Amino acid sequence: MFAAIVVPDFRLQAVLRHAPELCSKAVALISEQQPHACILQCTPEAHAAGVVIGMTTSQARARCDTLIVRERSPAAERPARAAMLDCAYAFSPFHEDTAEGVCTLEWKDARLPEAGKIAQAMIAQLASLHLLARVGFAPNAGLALLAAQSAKTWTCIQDARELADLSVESLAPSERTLELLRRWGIRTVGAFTALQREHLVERLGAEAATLYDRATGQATWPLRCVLPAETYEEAVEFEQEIEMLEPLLFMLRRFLEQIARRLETTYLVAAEVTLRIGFTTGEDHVRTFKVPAPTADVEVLFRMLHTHLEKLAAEHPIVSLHLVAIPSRPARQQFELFAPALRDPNQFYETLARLIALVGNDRVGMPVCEPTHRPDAFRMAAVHFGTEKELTDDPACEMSLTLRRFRPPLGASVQFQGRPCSLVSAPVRGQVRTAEGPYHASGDWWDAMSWDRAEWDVQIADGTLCRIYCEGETWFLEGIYD
Amino acid sequence: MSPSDKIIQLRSLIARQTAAPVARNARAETGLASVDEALDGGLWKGGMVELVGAARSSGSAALVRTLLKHFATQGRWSALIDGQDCFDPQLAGARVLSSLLWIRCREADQAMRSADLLLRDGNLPLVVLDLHGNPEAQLRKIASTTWYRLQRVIEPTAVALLVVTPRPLVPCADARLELHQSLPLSALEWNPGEVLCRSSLRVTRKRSASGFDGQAFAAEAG
Repeated sequence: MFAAIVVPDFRLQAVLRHAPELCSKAVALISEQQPHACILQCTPEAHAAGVVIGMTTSQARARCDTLIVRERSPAAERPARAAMLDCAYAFSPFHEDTAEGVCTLEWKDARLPEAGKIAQAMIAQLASLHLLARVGFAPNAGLALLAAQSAKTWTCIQDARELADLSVESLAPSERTLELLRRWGIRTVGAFTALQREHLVERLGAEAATLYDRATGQATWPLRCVLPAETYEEAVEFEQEIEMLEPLLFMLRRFLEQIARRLETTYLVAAEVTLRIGFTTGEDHVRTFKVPAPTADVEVLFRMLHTHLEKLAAEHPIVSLHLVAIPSRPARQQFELFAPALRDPNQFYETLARLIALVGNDRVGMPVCEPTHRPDAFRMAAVHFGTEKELTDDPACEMSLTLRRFRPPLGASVQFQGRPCSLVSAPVRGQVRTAEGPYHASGDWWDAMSWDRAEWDVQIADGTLCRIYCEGETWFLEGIYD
Repeated sequence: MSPSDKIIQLRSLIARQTAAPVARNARAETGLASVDEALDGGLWKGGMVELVGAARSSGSAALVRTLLKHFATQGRWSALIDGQDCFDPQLAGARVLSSLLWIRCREADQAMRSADLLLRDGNLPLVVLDLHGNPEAQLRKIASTTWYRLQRVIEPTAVALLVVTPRPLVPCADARLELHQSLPLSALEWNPGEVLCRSSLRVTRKRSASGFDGQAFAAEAG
């Protein structure tokens, strides 16, 4: 059994997907924004107001003054087409991307007793993705396509004779053939098939044979099945430039809702999200977010993007928005046993982003010591909760006290008579009670980061234990032991 | 939104607000026998303990390092909010660093806001807020109400908060550990475990579990 999903006026529906409030208004689609651009597709409201396909924009506006004109957007058509295929994949793995706005599915069973339920589920799922579709079931692919074109919402046929009332345009004849058929008074498929195949071929040529086979359900083809999507994307090119955060967030939420619905239909979750914002200058802002605990939860994904956008300062208005999600299978884990390091990883990484916004990118993370003896040599690494390794501590870490460092070390004035006798610096001053040293340290003499110094551990009269050092002729207070 | 939806939302809001906090008896061991003994098992989960390094070089940073190491050994993560960016990772050890989130603040106000974020998050079991190195002028700007707010935030979580200060600062801490005596220079040669044994640690605890009066501390251990 085969099924065909047909989305009528696909290009228009793709454009209106992210503006569903316009679906009930008179809207027309043109190929490009030019004075003499022709109407490609229009909504029933526009049609009722007298707008006809092929009119120029000014002619259409003369008939309908409330007409909203939108430009065709290949960027919006791509995700709409992908959304349709995702929906098809949820019902059958054998599905074909037949044409623009047309998708064909196959089931190995000869009969499909629950065709009605399947069709309604398909239509509901596509409606949730803001696509109005018709579904047709038939024993072969060609008939299923005709059935879908003839259906109001869905239909299931077993024989081509059930399509006798279908308009002859549904067979997609050439302009010349259609004109001839009209002159002959042939308006329906039934009237067309009433004629003999040989006679039609004799008068109309080879095309008539193809049309006849299509009309009688003899034309079919093996499906060229497509693989499920590897990325889930949504895109929009704004009619007007955006300068505020709110409309951007509004559109992002819609995108995420659509992507989440598509992910749900395939039982997947988002592992990575890439945001691309296009500016009027032609430049793009691209940012990829790894989702710590992959999810299809709109709120979680939205918070992640929102946190980033809150601190983004753009110098130019925004003209396009593109969001891509890379899916993965949901993680399975046995609760309580082998519990993860974090209760809510997504919440934690969001907090981390807020902390970074508060104190700076280089000031939050896991400290990692550099493989050198240079004092205070470390770098900040990104936090990751990986598998634990067996770690051994450096013997230097076995010191009883630790050092509260001054970054950078503070200049100090030291009286030195064989050993430091007194110390004056901003936080510490006084006579040196006891001192130990010098401890010479040097290294990296071959590059700019070289150091060569004599360190002293001293105790001031008030009891403060300090580490001071002399580099050249200058003394510094490195830190206080605590 | 329908009235029934509103009622459901209101109920869940009330449930969240009035959710039973983590059992007040729950403790997080510090790995320091004397401290655990004085605090009946360790730091309060969902509570605050203040560590006052009243004298310079009295060993407060060493105590924090021991605590972080104990948590790291158990495979638990900690956060160190460093009020003045003075933590030395080279003396902390690889084990501590492998499960430590270090936040290097420039001033006390940043540290307080970072603490607020981390406590609301509630993912990490231990948060150390180190204000010991911050100038007195910055510490004076911290309103006492801020501590009560943090207490409210932390109460329903299982996070243990240790605040390190140069003088008693937290009016609503569940307990206060005070180090009054500077250690001698020879302390640099001691074993890490000896520092706490030889330093004078005084532990005071809040008199009643429900009281929030910062003056109501009673000396319990010396």
